[in-house]
Amino acid sequence: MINLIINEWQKVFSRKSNIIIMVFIVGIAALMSFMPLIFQNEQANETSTYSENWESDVSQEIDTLQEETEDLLNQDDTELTFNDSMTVSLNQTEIERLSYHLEAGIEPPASNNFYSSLVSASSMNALIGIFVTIIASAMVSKEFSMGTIKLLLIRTQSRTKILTSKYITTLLLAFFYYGLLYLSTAIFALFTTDMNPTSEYVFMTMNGTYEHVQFLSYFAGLVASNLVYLVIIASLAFMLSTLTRNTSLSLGATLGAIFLGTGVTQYLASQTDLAKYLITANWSLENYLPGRTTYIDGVSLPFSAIVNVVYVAVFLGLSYYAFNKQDVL
Amino acid sequence: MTTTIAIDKVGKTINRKEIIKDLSLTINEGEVLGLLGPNGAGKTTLIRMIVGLIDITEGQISVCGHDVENEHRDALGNIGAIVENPEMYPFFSGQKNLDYFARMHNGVSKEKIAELVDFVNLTDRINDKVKDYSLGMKQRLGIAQALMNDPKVLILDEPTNGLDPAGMQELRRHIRMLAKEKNVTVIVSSHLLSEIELMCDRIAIIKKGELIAVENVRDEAKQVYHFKVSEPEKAQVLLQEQFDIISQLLEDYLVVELPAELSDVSSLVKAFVNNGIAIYSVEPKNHSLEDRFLHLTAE
Repeated sequence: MINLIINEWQKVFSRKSNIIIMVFIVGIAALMSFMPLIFQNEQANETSTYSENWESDVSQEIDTLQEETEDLLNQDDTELTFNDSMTVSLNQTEIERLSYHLEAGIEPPASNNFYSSLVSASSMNALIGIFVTIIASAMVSKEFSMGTIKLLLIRTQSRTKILTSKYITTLLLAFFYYGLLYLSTAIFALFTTDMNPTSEYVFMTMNGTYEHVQFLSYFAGLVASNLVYLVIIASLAFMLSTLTRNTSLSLGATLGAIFLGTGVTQYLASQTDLAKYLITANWSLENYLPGRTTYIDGVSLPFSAIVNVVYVAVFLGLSYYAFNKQDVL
Repeated sequence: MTTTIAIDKVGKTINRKEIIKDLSLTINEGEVLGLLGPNGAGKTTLIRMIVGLIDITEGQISVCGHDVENEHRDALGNIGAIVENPEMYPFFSGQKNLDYFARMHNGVSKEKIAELVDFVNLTDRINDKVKDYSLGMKQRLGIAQALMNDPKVLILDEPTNGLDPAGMQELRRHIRMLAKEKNVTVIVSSHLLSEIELMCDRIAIIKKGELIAVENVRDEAKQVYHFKVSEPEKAQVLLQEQFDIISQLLEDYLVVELPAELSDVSSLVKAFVNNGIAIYSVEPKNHSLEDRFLHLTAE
């Protein structure tokens, strides 16, 4: 089995698309890390780090922000300019955030900090999903289009074993891409961001209030839900590749599910309760992380977990059945 | 003689269309069998059933005593094959392709691979990418791949495709060598009799999915020669008078069937020369087999 996986891995790494994908991932990580440095405003620079006596620093900062806001609001001019009104609302949010830090006794991190850079990298997970789709949807069908499937199947390895090695390779690759995104983000972030002073992660919830959690547990939840999403995407594309033996069809259909999934699910959910049983309504487990919310009713983390497991089992069941059964012409 | 491949009343139906009908055939150890038939006759379908790529609708096939469907792994362990085209991974070098397939078997050593590369004469180009190979080189790489597990049965589907005359001769030599020295059973398919005639012991002729004849190549080889001479009419008379041979004039060729008492053609040549008839060419023809094939496969 190890040998079969080595073989599959070698094939993927001799493909040009794989090289392009890896370059792309590292490039995206670099872009996300260096963008804030380029577009950072002066204000953010001021509030970069705090001294040991951070509590008084923060109260002072809140006072300054408040004064600035009041000055702007008490101007003699009748109308606030656009910039001024922006500053007012930004200051308001900043005041709330800093007050929360004071209340909870957590030293605020720099505006461009390590934790938030790691968290925002997970927004690139859909992109990784697309890359995984590109590889997974060619995994079986490419052997058919190249004709090499015959050379694989006329050996003593069973078809089940061959398919398993391909599926494992697909998953390993998905994890590899994800790992590459995070590894490069973390390395760039070490240079471009300030390390957080505490292990607490403070975030704004959907209704505008602030909460805090231990960063590591939050991050672990985020990674786990991202990986679940990738496994589902990989399994879907892999099944389509096995069933249709057509790379473009599997690629198109899976990308369609990725791009249109949320929109279509939201629409269907407004029409029928059954929409919550769709895989697209359940594959984003990060919606269950603290501070986030699901966009349809009637789902919960255990519910989504079960739906996901059932779907992946069906995807794999169909793949194995078809691959073992079908004539290879 | 041990039977290595037993095909017993095999039928294959795809989309309600009968591709192979009630086909039975046994092939012995060390025998080279040619599978001959026009395109679409069902040669590749039969080969696909032997190597387990497609289900057998009816009947059984066993390889070295193992049923292809029920004892899939045992049967396949004895087979090395090229099915349809020698399709390898174009983005790998020849060497990498062979290493790749070696990993799918147990205990294929580096030396064994090098030996195979040498056997098929690819040593110079083995590190080039397969996409830069000619069809003939791909065929040779395909043969090296098929021999990797020291198979008792070697199946080559249309192996002469893309081979030049020198390659064809080399292939013939390889196949005869494997059959004679290593006792390998070989199945080669082709739609051209002339290309496999010289390498086969027996030829099975398939038409529209049915086995219509099995011919022994050696026995059947009556000695027929095509003469191209300066005065064909004079030569015809001479043959009848001196050797009692009734020859036929076909276009500008004189078709001569050698009688059993003459061991070779030299006495005829001598007679022509002595009588002042110039000889431009003498071409041996395995006439009866070729005729039979054309006749059998004709619409």
